[in-house]
Amino acid sequence: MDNDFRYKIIIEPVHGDIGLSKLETELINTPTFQRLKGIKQLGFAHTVYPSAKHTRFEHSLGVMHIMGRVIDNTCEELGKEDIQKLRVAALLHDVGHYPYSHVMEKIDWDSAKKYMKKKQGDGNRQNDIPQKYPSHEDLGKIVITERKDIKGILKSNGIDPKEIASLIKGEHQNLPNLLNRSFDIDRLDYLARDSISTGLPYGKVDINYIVNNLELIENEVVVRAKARNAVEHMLIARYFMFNTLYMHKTVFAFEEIIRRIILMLLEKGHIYKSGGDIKNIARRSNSRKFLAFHDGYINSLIDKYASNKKDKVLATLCQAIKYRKPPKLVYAFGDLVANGKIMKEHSNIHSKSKSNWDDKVPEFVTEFKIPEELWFFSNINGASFEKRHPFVSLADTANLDPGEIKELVRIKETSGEIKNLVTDKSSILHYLSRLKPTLLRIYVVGIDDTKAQQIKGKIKEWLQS
Amino acid sequence: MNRNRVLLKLVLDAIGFGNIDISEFASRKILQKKIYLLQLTGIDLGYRYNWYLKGPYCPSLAGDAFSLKEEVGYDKEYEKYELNSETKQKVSILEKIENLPDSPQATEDEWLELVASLHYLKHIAYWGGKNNPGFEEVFQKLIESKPHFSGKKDLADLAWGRLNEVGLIENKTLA
Repeated sequence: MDNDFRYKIIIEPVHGDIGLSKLETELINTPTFQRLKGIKQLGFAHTVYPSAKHTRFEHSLGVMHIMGRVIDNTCEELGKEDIQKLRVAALLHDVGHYPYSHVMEKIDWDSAKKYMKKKQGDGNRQNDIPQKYPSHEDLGKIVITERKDIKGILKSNGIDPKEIASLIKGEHQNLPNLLNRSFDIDRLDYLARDSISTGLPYGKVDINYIVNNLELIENEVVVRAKARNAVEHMLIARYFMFNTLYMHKTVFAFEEIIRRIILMLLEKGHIYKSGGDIKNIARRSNSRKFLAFHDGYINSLIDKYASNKKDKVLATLCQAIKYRKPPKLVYAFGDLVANGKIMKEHSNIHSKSKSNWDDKVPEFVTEFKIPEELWFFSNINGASFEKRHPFVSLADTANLDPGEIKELVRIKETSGEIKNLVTDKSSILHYLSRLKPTLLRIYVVGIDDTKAQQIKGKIKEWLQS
Repeated sequence: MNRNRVLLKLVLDAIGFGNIDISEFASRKILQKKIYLLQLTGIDLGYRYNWYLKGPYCPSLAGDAFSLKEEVGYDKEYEKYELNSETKQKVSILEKIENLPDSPQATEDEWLELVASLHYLKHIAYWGGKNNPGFEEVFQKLIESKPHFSGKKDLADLAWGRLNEVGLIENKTLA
């Protein structure tokens, strides 16, 4: 590595030594970047895996480090300035993240109702839907181009902040787009990091071998055929991490509760009311509100409303988080769907539970005297903890044009031919990519085991009727 | 089926993709560009586009379209809903954009690729700090990555004019 990128060295458990340039050192020392130390990478995973407390700060350093290694291996012709821009883009790619990572960003604003209506009744257009919270990528663009500390350092080093934002968002026309393309540098870091922090072995991928076997062809990263096994392992590792960590029934439950709390606080006006509010605090250069917009912001709200006597339902939900009282799982349905076809014996239950839950829940509310807000019906097929399914779970992957799919890994054979890994019938991914996990879960907050058993029985009775 | 998926289904019905036939590359390309342009009219479906070989592309739209195709096989929630009148009016703006010119002739996917790409290069893409580029600059940039349009400047000029008619040269979106 060039000495310019070893102005400072940080030692960390995933990659060992991480070298930084003077510019990168200045950036990580800004209050805006330091904010990432307050945002856990894995949201509420620490409620199940107590050591899962690593933050977006070290993950950002890791992604920058891998970017540097990928550039070293694939972009010999790039000048130092362009290398620096790519590294900075990797470093800042998560700078717009929300507290507890994806929790706030993924709440269901139900903004679709702005554009449609029920055929029967409900003819009024919803005019009062607030502007939804922007994605962390969009917020990151505001942070990079408008916050004085980050913007100032970039400009004083001759870098256009808009250029960095465009690299992160995949809008750059000239430089290779290594952050958003077929090979996901982000994923290489978080799988290994999440594995080490949680103690789960599934994410331990052979980063070195993969990175050492990358090539850049027409601005796209491809993997040499000899690293195919390592890449297949990486994609399968993501599936197991998905099941055991990201979709763990308790981790997921706590995150659903937080989303419900946020929605309730939104309705009462006790939290940032709209995307516009969030953008404003991100924009204001001296805004301490943005610097405090990390996990502590959510924690303080939970503390405050856990003892709220006026709203017992909200208090119950906040206490569940504060005192780690996971909700009871009263129904679960899981399947691996092949080519869109749920196993026949499950299809009736699956479709019934999905389409009739809204009609059924008031009966359960009345029968068991548990407020509706304490019931959670989670269709995890629709939820996205990852941007993509564990595999490239698209029905017709073999028919996709190579330029179409960014998450598909592409392999360069010894003959020079380049193909999508999933189209190769000798690859296990060809078969696995046609499967997609689907999960339905029903949780109830604030009940004991006896009540949970009663509810389970009723749900079973309903679904089998 | 969550409401975002319901909305996507209703939108696909309105723009001619009701049967979600996306088995061919050309139809997938058309879908991508139609949704890109539709969102410019003010219907925010949440799809964010990057630049790809064939112009603006959104991977999550591709994934959602495939997933939706599966879902409609067993979940008919969308049948309870319809687009409201304001949304239908925005769809009609898309129809103005996507109408093929009489001359010079173009295929549907070619026309949509051109219109969407010109807009993307004008308003979204980053290239050398260029601010508010005009048609000539954008066209030159277009043919750098899409040389197959180099002999179709007349068509590109028409596409630019179409965008201008609906207000998408002066404004990034109509929202």
